[in-house]
Amino acid sequence: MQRREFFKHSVASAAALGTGLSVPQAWAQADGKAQVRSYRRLGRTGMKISDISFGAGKLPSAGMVLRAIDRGINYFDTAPDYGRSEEYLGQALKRLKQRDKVYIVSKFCDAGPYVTGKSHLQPGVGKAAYKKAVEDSLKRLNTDYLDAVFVHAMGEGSDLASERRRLLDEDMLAAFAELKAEGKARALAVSSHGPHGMEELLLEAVNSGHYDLIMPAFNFMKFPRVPEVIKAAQAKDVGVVAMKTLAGARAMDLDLAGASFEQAAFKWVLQHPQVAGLVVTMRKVSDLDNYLPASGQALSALDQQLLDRYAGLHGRDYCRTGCGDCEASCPLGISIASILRFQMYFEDYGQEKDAMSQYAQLDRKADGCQGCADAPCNQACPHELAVSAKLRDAHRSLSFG
Amino acid sequence: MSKAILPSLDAPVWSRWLLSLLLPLMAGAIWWQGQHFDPGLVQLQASAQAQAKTKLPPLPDALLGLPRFGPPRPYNADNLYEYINGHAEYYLSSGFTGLTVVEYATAGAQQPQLVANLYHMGEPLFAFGALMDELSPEAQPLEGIGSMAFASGDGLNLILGPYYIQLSRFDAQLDLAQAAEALATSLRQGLGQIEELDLSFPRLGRPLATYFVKEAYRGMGFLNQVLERQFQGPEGEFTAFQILDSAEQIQITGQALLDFLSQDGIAVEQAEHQGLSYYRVDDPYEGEWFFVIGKTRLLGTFTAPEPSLLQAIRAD
Repeated sequence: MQRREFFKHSVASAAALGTGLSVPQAWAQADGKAQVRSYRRLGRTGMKISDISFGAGKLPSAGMVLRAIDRGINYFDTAPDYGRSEEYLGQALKRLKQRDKVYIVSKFCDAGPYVTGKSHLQPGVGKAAYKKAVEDSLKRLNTDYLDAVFVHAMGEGSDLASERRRLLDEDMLAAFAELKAEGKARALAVSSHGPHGMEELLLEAVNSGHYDLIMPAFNFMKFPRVPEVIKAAQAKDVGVVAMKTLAGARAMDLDLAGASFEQAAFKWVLQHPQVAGLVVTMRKVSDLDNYLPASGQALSALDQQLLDRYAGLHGRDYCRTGCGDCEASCPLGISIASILRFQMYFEDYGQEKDAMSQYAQLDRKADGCQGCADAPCNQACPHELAVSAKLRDAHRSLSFG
Repeated sequence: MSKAILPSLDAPVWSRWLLSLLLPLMAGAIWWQGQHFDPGLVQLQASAQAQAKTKLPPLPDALLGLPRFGPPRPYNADNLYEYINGHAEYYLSSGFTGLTVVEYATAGAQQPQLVANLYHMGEPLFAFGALMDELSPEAQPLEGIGSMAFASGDGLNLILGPYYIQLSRFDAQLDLAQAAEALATSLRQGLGQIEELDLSFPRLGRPLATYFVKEAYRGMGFLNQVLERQFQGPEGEFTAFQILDSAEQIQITGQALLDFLSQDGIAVEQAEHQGLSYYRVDDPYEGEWFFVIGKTRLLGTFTAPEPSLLQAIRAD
């Protein structure tokens, strides 16, 4: 494919976005490669996003962004602490020269390696710090506006009162109002994958009227209260983008009569009309081939069988990110859900280094579980996980213990 | 069974009684130890076995006039987690062979004022990878210290041969650069010949920055352990990458790249410049670029194959 063809496709994509919910069939089949087939309205943000969108947490290059755009992806989720992600996106935007044809969202966050409880701006940093975070992102991204800026990872701290202060920090809200007036940020968004009070905090965000978009962790392992949150969002015309949709991604060998686990998991999320799209990390070109066939497709009986089989294998082994029901039961105050999430990154996502780094920064680690005879966390889990044993396993993995 | 290997019945009775008594004595000793074992205790000192496995690098007795604070502590793959609980796996999967921790403080001090972690990463390239991975955005490069050094706040990271060294100060008055220079000098003198970092890029322009990408370079799952360098050339900035490997592996990787581009429908044209064979790629995603499959090196440059660049590659 020549470069002019790439730009022709980009223009075709833009035309499709302006006219309806699906790209022209001729392009959807271009080169026989998997393409985005469905675009959905993202609440009151005015965006119409690809149902399968790009999580740029491990972005390898600007070229990868252009490949994704060529396949019809138009929504890119990045952050200052995602390595060179914003820089690569900026290079891609420079070459694309069609800023208004893609949506770029980032986070109120410091650049540099992620540090739990520090990277995401906290109450008290002041309005100027929030504004500077966005302005620094704009420089790296080679653009003059963000389509949305996120208050990120709500519920990463166990003190819900403190998290509520972060959610509705007056400095942050004032900074966003100014950024919006200056045309530098168009929508305010909030994300959460727990481990503390995900549903409560997101509901509070929706009801506050300040937020245009939410991004919860949501997958077929049925977070019990997320449907309630996304229905509340829909009622207020707040957009919903899902993340953590692969429920641990441990079923790569679970294909069933040609059905793909990842695609089944995506279709399950996208069957909820309140969800405009999902973001999934794409590190390799092959991820585009593996993920995009799910776009615009309904969940089939075979897909559901595959997910049921997965749930049967892992239902009592999978910690629901954002649940946090076990947290209060630990007499040592160990951050159970965070540790099990880090273990998921380590074991299922192949992100060993990141997982171990984040685990190293926890004040209370799971080595305290070694001598715990009562294990009240086991009784506290509504999904009957053997929490104590999983914590000991996690400590062995994450600390090389 | 032959009679020759039967136990002798001629041994004196007292020795057989003694042997029988040993069993309950051993059981008692094991039981007593078990009762006094505390699983909550963490052994912070490297084991004697680990110390025997890790060869100590030559270390200065003093740095910035500060004598050593205790003996150097060696760690290896078996017990690295005792020192860096939560980040060991990264090093172990990146070529790590050993760590020596050495501390310095004024005589009589209760705490160290200067701590050096010397990671032996097996190869200079892996040491470089660790340095690049752990660089904070505000780190400033320092010239003339080791093979490469960066300072940031109260920390200074450098590489020297296969060593990746983290130097931390707990006294803001201490001059980290001076300490790092003294440490590097001591290592050079003590080790004699040091395998220097060989980034060995051809002289394509003025180097601006160098990165190490462990896997899936630019989204291509078969391009791993890649060095990427940004250059300033006469026409502007551009990026080059290279993979150094065995002749057999380079051929395999080169073929995988050609196959990938072909399957992706990207036009590749084989060409030649004064005996140098190269592939020119007309890529809608990466722009025009070219690559050379050498004997033990795969080199790519994300710019047009200008004669001056091809000449530089050929000369290299």
